[in-house]
Amino acid sequence: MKISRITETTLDDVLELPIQLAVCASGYEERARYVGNILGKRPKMKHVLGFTAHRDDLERPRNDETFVDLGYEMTICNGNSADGISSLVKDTLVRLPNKSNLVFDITSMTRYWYATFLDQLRATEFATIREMSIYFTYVPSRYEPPPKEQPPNLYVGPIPGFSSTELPDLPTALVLGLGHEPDKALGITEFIDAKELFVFMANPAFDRRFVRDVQRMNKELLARLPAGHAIGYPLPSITGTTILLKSLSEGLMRSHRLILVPLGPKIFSLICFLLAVLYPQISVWRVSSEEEEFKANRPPLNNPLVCRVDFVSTGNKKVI
Amino acid sequence: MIDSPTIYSTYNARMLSPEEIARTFVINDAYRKLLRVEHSILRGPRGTGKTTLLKMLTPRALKEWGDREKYNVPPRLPFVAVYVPSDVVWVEQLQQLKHIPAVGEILSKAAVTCNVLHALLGTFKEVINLYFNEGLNSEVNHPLCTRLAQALRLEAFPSLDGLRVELDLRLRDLQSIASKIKQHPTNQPELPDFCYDDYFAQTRLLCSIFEEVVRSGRNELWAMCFDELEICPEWLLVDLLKKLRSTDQRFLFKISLSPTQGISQEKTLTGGPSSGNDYTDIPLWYPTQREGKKFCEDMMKKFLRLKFDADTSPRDLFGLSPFTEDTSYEPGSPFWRLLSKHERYDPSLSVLLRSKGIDLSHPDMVTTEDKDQVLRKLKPILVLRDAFRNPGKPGLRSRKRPGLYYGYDAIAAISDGNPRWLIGLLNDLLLDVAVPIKVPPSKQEVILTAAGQRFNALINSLPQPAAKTGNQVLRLKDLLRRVSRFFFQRVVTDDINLDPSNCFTVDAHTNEELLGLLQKAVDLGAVVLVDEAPTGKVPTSLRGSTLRLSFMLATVYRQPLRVMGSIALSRCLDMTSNTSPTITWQLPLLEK
Repeated sequence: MKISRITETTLDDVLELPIQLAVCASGYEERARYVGNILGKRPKMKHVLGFTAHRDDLERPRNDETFVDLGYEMTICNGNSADGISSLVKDTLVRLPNKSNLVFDITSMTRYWYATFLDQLRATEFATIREMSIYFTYVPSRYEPPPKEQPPNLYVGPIPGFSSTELPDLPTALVLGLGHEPDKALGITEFIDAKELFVFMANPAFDRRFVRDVQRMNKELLARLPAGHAIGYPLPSITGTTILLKSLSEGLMRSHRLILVPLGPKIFSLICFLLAVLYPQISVWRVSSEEEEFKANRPPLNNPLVCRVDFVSTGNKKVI
Repeated sequence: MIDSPTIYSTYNARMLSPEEIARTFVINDAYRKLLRVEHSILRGPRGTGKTTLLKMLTPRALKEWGDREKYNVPPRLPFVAVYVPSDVVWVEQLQQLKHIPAVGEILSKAAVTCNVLHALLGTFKEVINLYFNEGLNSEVNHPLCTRLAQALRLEAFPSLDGLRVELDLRLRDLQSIASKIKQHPTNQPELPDFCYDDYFAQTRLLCSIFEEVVRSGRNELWAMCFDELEICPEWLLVDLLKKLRSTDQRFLFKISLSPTQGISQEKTLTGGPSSGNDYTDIPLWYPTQREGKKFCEDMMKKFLRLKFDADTSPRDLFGLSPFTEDTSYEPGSPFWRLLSKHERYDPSLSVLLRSKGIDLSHPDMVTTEDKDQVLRKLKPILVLRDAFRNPGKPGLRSRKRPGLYYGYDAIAAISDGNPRWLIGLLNDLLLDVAVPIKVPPSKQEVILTAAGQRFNALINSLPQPAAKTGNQVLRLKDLLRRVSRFFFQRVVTDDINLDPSNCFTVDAHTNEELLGLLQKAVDLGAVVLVDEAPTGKVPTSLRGSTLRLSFMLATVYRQPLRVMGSIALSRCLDMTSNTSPTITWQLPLLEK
């Protein structure tokens, strides 16, 4: 299938619609169950991906319990495995009627999961579905100060399916979404050693302290950027951020191998993946501590972001 | 290249054209060795100039190199160098192809073939531009492109550029095939024929066509220059190593590797190549500080000449560092005052001086031999102790800017003879300096410290193996921190010793995991091989080698900029794992 439209909407609007399928993830944060609770028993089919790890940590038991109570079918899978998503596409999505509405909550998902979902959707044609709308939801958290210690990075590289193959005689351009981890972006920048570097940092975000933390933790990197290479994006506005990133990417990919590395909020990562679906010559990398990351329960803010992505059939031979 | 607009103002030859590289190239022994008609392996960590040296073999770079005649390098080498680029992004892309079920290896090889042939066609174009002022006439160009297209299984194109674009498109096809197979592994499409072409067989064929059509059948000697093989797929490295042993006589291979890469593959190859017999190993690190300093001075002078359009002395611009050996040891000199001050407060120094028969109250009795053998050695130790100890008081001074790291010799030392680091540092130091006036030491220290922190951030962000020592798991940053803490304690907090260590020997107690971690550190340039032999030898194993922390990290880990004695690694780690006897003597790291 292919993307026909990307727009921004609200959870209230989604609640007005018939929802054929909801997909959530159960992790150790309280906000994992936020969208599930709001949707209640409304969705016809309900599916939750539970992490293999941290099953007794923080809010995880309560999240699992909530999803079971709401009637979610649970698949336990590794955060860096495509298995759960593959079976979701092959076993559940095929049962959907045409013009279905899906809610896909990325709040507690790994980037790998929702990247895989998008990658599989673009490579799949369904026998019954000509059009569908997917409502990607993301529940921001209340402000938490940055972690004092960083777990080691265990993976730095392209996300499978989001790796373009272009000859190395073309220079690289790196667009980095900044997070609030100390010097993580600086290290990645040194590692990729791109000819052109642009950074995206949330400003405004949901909390001014987050903006300040991001600037503080990336002080060294920001100080060395040429003018105009640090771009503030409006975190609460999916449309605004998409326009900014799309415009920069279109310019850069004419003469560079373009790599997006979203380190910051997950909604920015989603926008990166959506653009890479639209432009296959864009690569998206991830930097991951796998399951060694420090656990913290970040409580939800009450204003989830919703990105509506319409998919239509490409008209190619149906394979499912 | 100095005006390169990259984020770190660093110099990465990968991003520059051969002409840009030629403009600032500084010749060294490694380049002279590389010019020889023989297979070569360039070895060095990131930034040691491997790409520069390989690109400087290409016809375009030689043409533009202003100093070429000065160094008696002919305009045409006995071989035509074909530079085959690579980088971490490209290799990660190949890795993704490799993971495609069943045909991953074939797709990855097909992508490498595209890259090699793309580079070869580019070299054909360079050679034609150099040898034929008005390009090829259509009577030669047409058959050339037609026959090349046939060999490449492409439609006939009227130009070499057109053929190169087609190779670009092939990569897109590979990506699309990979994507289809990944999603539907059971419906494998038939792969196009070009996927099965061998990169070297195709190279030979294209070169033969070029020789026949353009050079009227005259054979050329082709030097295939493969860059950054340390990160390339394993099969390519093994294949190239085999070719060093025996290959078509028309081809030479000049490849670049990190210091320890390829050693294990060479060992496991039956009848594999050996250094000295089948190829020449060209190490790009400087085993002694003296050698590195000479290269850095030459490079600084060239940089300053280009920057200010006039000869400028690095020493005049940046001054001398507190660690310099170029100093006076006479009574009344700053060093003498430092010595006297510490003698008053540090009983261990008094004992040491007494044991050497040196009495500071009788300076006339201090012999030249004392100065050479005792005072010269004491200098870097005292400089570091003075910066971090509180005279007469327990505990260390916590100093963000210890006033230690500045001066042209410090800049050279901190760059560790790594041209990319050196040019990056000089760019930063002279960013807003329009005329050659002295750069204040405090400003230099800020910039040199920031560079160390950036390198440290890189080390911390890379995925790296973990090593177990006892019941502790060490990653690279832990290893560096523990070793540096040990040395800091030895030099600064313990009783003064004329021969403290800041190097370590990889002893028999070092397990394989730790060895793997050390290899990563050496390949990254975080740890440097130290060798007494001035020629610099490539070790066949790190076991038994002497290593030290890169001076680039000296500002972060508070280390002296001087090579001192060495101690077994197992001792460093055992001792540092214990709690320090005086808890106040902790290393004031500048890590974030």
